[in-house]
Amino acid sequence: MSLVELRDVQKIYRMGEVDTPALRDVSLTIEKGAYVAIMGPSGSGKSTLMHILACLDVPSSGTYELNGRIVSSSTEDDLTLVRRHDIGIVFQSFNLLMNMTALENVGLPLLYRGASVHEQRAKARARLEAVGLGDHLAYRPGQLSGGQQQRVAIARALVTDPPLVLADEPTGNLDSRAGQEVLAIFDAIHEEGRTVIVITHDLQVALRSERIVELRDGVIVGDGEVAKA
Amino acid sequence: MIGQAITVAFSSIATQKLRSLLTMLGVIIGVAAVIALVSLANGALASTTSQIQGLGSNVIAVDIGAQGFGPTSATGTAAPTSLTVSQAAILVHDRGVVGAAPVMAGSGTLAVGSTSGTAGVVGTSASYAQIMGYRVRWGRFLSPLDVASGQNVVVLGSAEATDLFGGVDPVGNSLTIDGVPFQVIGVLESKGSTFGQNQDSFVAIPWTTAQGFFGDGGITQVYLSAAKGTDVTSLVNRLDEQLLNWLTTAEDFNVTSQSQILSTISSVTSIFTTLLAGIASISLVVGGIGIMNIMLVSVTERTREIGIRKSVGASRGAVLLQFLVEALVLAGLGGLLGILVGWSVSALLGKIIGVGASFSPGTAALAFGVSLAIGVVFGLWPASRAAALRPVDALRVD
Repeated sequence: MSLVELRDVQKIYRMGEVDTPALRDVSLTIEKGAYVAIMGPSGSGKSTLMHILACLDVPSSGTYELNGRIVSSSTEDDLTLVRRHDIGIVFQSFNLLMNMTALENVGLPLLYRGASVHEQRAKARARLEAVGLGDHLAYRPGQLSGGQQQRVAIARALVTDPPLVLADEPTGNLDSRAGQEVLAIFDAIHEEGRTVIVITHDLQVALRSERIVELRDGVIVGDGEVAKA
Repeated sequence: MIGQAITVAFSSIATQKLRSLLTMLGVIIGVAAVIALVSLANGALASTTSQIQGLGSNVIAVDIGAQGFGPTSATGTAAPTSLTVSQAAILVHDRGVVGAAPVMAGSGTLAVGSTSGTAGVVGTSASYAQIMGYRVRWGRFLSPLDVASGQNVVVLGSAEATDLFGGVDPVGNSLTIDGVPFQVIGVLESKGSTFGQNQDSFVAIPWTTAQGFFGDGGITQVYLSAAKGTDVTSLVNRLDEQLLNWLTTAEDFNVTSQSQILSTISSVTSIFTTLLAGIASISLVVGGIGIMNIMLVSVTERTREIGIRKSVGASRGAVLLQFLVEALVLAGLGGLLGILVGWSVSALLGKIIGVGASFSPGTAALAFGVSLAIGVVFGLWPASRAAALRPVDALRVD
């Protein structure tokens, strides 16, 4: 059963008088439990695709069906609900709130779901322990290394138990050792049966996945399984 | 969610202490000005009211040839400037009047041994002290018998007693008024001054005795005490009518009830209070604009934070609430500080100008409510701008 289904998705940015297409006729199906890497050089439209997949933006035309629901024509308020319940996002630049502790950052998505403070703390603590930060609960992002910050961000993405986890260049701001740690966590997330989509331009990252989709100039130019040794 | 919004608001205010204080300054000054002005005006009104009530309860003053409670003076017209004793007797013969004190006012030279001085001499009846609200310190006031028999007895106002006899009890001593010997039978308690007029600097003698000094027809004032439950307005009208029979025009006399004076003073005071508070509240509006300005800056600065919150599931309502609560907390804190400042300033100023500031919790509550309203009004636009940000745009900002 497919979790993500894109049909003829276009995204056109209007720059003054000129229409600049970022995505042209992208169709893509991703099954539940899959681990997919979307690759492409900068300007290929992979960030735009990521924003649409994450329900941070809507396509200009075409349909996007997530978890059996068409979300491409949703209002901003409906997209908020989709983000709140179905999607966990990990950004390249971590995007943690600097004046909050790791525990508070991870609890934030639960807060917007109306969870009690007790539930927020309990679940956030469990997620942070799972990414090996059980003894850094009260640290603020400024007191953590890049790798640690990204692990906090991953814990935040997973705290609501979303069916889809999206990661946008998750290792882009990390040194290779921290990057490997983060990728190992993604492997583990996938092992749990969760659907993971990683957007990257790094082949080493892409090769950790099961399937690579290659994007160039807003068009899918390659799509294939990764042969596992 | 609201509890969390309040926590976030306080922590964001705490991290920007100086800026938050400067932002609140407009509201602080506005609220402080309103509170101080209203407290001082209320204090002034309360002290004036108690002074007037100190004149005695249900008092109606009839002044001939003069306006109001002021010192008696000739009008310069041919109209009579005083009433005769029989006219005064007719005037007070009314079912609504329970007590009356005629006043023949003049001045005389008082002398005790080698000490002498000029003082107001009031020829009146035994009811005067009670109607005017004087209490006796030493001895007694004039008795009906003193008045009936025209005794040469005198009751001293506290200022005169001090001038002539120092601080000691002078009852039983003698003094002369314009050379005529009088026996001191009492001294009054001090009442201070009303409208800058010293109420303690006079002496009282029986009006029958005063006729010898001022002649018949020297009654320039009559103080009446209205019976409980009397319609004071209609009593004043009856007195007006009776006086018009004797005096040519209404300018030649004046009938004033205590309640009229009180209502005039309180309406004048409330006009001034409203006017001044209105001017002061302009700075509240300015303060509100300051809050709006800073909230707009804050929304711009925290665009990325808004994007992050939205990307993890914050609805527009949640973001709106967060920024609205922050504006509310700023305005509310400003209001509270303003109330404190206003209260201290009015207490301090009250001491300096000698008016007891009356700090009313109602005004404080109102001022606080207005500050919160300003927070909502001026916080709404920045908050709705924050809420309307698209997450993809908000996240793009560094």
